[in-house]
Amino acid sequence: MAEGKQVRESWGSRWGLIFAAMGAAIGTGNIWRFPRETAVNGGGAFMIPWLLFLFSWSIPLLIAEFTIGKKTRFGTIGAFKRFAGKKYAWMGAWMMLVNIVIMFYYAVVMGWVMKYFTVAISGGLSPGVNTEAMWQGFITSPGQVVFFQLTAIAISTVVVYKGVSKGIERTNKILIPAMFVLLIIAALWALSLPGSLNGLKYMFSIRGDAITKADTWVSALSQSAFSTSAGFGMAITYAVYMRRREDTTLNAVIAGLGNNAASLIAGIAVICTVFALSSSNVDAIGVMQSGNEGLAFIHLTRLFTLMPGGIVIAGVFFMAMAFAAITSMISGFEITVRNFMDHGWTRNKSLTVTSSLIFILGIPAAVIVLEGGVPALLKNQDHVWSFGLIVSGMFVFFAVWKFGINHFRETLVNTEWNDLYIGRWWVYVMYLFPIQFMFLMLWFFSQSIAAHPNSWWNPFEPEGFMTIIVQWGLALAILIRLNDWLNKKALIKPQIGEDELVEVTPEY
Amino acid sequence: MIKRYLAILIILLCVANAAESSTVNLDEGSEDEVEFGFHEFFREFFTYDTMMDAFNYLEGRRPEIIRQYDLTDTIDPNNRMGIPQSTWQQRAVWAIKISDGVDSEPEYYSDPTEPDILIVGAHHGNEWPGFEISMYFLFYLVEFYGEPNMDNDNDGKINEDPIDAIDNDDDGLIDEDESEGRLTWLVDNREIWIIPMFNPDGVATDTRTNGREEVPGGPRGSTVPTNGVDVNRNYPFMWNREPDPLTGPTMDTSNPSQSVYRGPDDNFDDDGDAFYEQEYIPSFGYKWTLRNVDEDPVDNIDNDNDGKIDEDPDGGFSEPETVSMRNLIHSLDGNRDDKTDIVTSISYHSYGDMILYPWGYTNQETTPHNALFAYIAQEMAGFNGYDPMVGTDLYPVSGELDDWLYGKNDVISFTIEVGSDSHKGTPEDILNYSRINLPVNLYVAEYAAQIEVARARFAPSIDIGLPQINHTQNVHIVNSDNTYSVKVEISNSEKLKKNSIFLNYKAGESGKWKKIEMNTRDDEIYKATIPTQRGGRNVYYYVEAEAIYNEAEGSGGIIPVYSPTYGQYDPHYYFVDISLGDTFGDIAAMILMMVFIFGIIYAGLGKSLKMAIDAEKRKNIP
Repeated sequence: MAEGKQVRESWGSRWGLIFAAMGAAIGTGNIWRFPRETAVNGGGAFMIPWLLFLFSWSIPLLIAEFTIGKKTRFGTIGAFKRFAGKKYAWMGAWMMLVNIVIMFYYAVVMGWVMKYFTVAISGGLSPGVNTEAMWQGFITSPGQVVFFQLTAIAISTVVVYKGVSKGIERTNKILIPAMFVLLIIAALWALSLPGSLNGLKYMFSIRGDAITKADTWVSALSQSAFSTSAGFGMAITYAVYMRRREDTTLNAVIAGLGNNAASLIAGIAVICTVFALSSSNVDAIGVMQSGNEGLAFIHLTRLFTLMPGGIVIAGVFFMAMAFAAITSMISGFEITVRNFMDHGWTRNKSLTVTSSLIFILGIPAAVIVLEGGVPALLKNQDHVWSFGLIVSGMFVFFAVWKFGINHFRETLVNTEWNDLYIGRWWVYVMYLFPIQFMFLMLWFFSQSIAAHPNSWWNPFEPEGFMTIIVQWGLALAILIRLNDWLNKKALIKPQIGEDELVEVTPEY
Repeated sequence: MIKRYLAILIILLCVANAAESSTVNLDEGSEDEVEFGFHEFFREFFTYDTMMDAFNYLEGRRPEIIRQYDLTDTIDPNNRMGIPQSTWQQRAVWAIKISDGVDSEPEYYSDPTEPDILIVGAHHGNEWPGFEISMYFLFYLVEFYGEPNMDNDNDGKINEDPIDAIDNDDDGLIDEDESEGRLTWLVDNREIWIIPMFNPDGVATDTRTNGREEVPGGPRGSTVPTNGVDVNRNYPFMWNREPDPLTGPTMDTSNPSQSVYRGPDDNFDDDGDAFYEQEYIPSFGYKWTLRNVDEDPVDNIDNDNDGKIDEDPDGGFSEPETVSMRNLIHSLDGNRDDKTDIVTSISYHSYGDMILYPWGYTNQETTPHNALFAYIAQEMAGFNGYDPMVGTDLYPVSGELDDWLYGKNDVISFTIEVGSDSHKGTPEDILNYSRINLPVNLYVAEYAAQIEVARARFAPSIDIGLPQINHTQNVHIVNSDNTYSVKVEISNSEKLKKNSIFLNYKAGESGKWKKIEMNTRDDEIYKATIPTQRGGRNVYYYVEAEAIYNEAEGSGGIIPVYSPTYGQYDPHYYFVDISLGDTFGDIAAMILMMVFIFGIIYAGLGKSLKMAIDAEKRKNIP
């Protein structure tokens, strides 16, 4: 270890980075959102665009993020300041803000998953139990919800506290393979049920009417965009800890494909379970349309109680989901922590602040539950800020575009350490980016208006249009106004270029 | 820091567990009876005025099935007995007709294909349960008519416990989930006449008799005061048979001051054959006696051997209430057979917990329908637990409603004495006796067609060998690619009208009924097939057939039978599921797609990982 030089954490191995990136990408969205979106949007008809957009949105964006992070060696704020220019530090701050707001409620959701895991393993899912009442009872008991939220935060805190290689890397290397194994068990179990063929048929048949619908395509794009963590700032942050000779392109492809690989297995597990155990296909489709929480915590839970060995599979399923949630959540923590560390704070202090913020500001999302068990604030945050991710992606595109897309590819992407040469196709795909962005936004806004024709203008309609405009507008106005301060004060740590990096390989 | 978190965590765990344990909260004190919204009307006794308000309220809710009739309008204004076109105290005798389409039919129309029933309360003004029970029946029909079959008690089952005084589903609750379809069927296929308050003057003053204040009978055509007439002694059949010399004296019904006063003597020569007979009496001279007045009282016998029966009654029908009843009964003759269409009737009195049937005037003979009466009364007793008996076994009466309805009109008529110890009970008792007698009313309404045939045959029970359509639904869900075959087995098929058995089906709640004839090889098992239907909805079906009886046996000779019992009102149904494709091509396409998607993702992932492994090997070589 060279004296007097900056010491920096880094990944212990390439596989650590790959598992961590996969862990960040694979979240609860793969397990409850993907099967639901697939089912609602016509099964096979949905999967074709979903696969297409993996290569036209998610992987290109992950490549860009990895590259920017590796180049700048900063968290999102620093990365944007350094890479896009001082005027645009606020874009990095937006990324961090989107991430932390998502963490507010993600911790709550992870808490729900853990609660259901404990219910499953403690034998609470006996046949005949009213899962609807169980869910209502749980969601409306603030003490319980907050307790599990806190547990989720505590676990993530411990992992991130231990650092990149000993905490994040080690955890992901265990949990991600374990999660795959658990999902495969759940999927095989589902396939063994009589009637599971209906699920496969539904999932993999291309219905002509669905494939020609614009909705199918935009849903597929949004699923692809949310699912891979592209735009989250995860890839920027994790790239900070890359070794100098680390690859950015092949790793991005592996993370993206790994994410979709997990989605597919989860899709089979969920859809086949639902179709095999529902009394009719119509019933099954109804279950698949019942929203994330309804699907996982009411219907799947109910169906598990009907299934031979369902108590075991319920435990397996919720454990897989909890693992997926933990690995995503620690990436969310790290994105925020990294930005504080760039400010010059120690990991310990950064983490204390981050965890406290996520816990305290997450409590409203946990406890504001309306009549009928609707977690209104949580829904609102999800509605508004998950789409903030798409805007974040657009900012990354902006930074790349400003740099020059082909120039970026030639000088920064295709370095000597890359294992996968990125051809000109990437440039063309990046040019498609604003078009995809536009379609996504138009669809999102029109959905927000169409779903609430009488209250979309009301900023207090949790899933309306105006609430997005007001919240985004407010956040952007504040962040842009704070840009100078962000530039001057937020980053006081001296900058280190790639060349000055000294690697510290942890001892095992 | 971690320790601090752990401390908070443990505290919150305790809080969470405490919160969970306190949420256990079971409903305690379940009740036997289910409350309906209209029970608000049964917290107090009705009065004449509130009863009319209730009529208007109900008619406002369901004008198509309720029609109000003021029966006193039918009284001839120029009648020779001076009966007003109202009760003596200027009230009306209100009758309500419940049936479908009453708002668009002529007055006093009687559909010859729909058996009529009559429910009447409060012949005696101090016996109030009668009008409460009648009103309850009325409210109940209106409440559930035309409603979809609902899960009234929110237990996930539909119509599992209809009104029959039995806890059909053994859940500790009685009759908590009636079949709306059954009630709609009843209203649509029966004509139900309800006269809740037959004697409103008596109810107003809480007296047994009506509101009459004087009657003829004094010297030289003058009147004498009366405390009112007991209208249930004012029907002319066997009007003056009391006290029966054989059964012993009761009260003097000829005394105008008695509470059982039967009304004034007739004293009219109804058939115009009167003459004065000259008779010489020694030491007195000629005595002139008026003959052939009231010489043929109403008893179904040609007392004067003139070839006409009961043409010159000796009394009865002197009161506006009883004349109203007579006019109603006589006007309901849709099939023009000079017999009323009313098949069966119940007159509610109190008290005694008894079910009485004719004869009331004598115990020297029973009616020709005695076995049928006894059978039906026994069925009624199954609902309300009262004692069935011949009326005269309570005490002999003359000029009473049941005897006249049966004796002169062939109505299978009953009197029910409600309650064990009081003419009224308290307002708290209203719901109780209204509910236990509701199934009695529903029973006679439902089985009126069978009663009509049984009556014509002098059968000992209402089992008239009606064909039964037996159908077991084995399949409750079919794929939208498949048809649905319906098989029924007919018992008592010899009564089935040929080519009258049809399968009716409709797709979706709001679909149109379609009819297909069912085929048979042996006249017992019939089959038909419902074609394929679009997926994602229920298909409803029922089987209908017609049983044929002699025209003389009533109901127009034809009684429709259904499976399920109430046909389209409560049909069978099955669910049509969306087909996901079962052909070889569908499966092949699915497998192809799986191979494609899995191929790209997993082969891509495998290749990428292999590249990465190779690269790592390369890079790790110094």
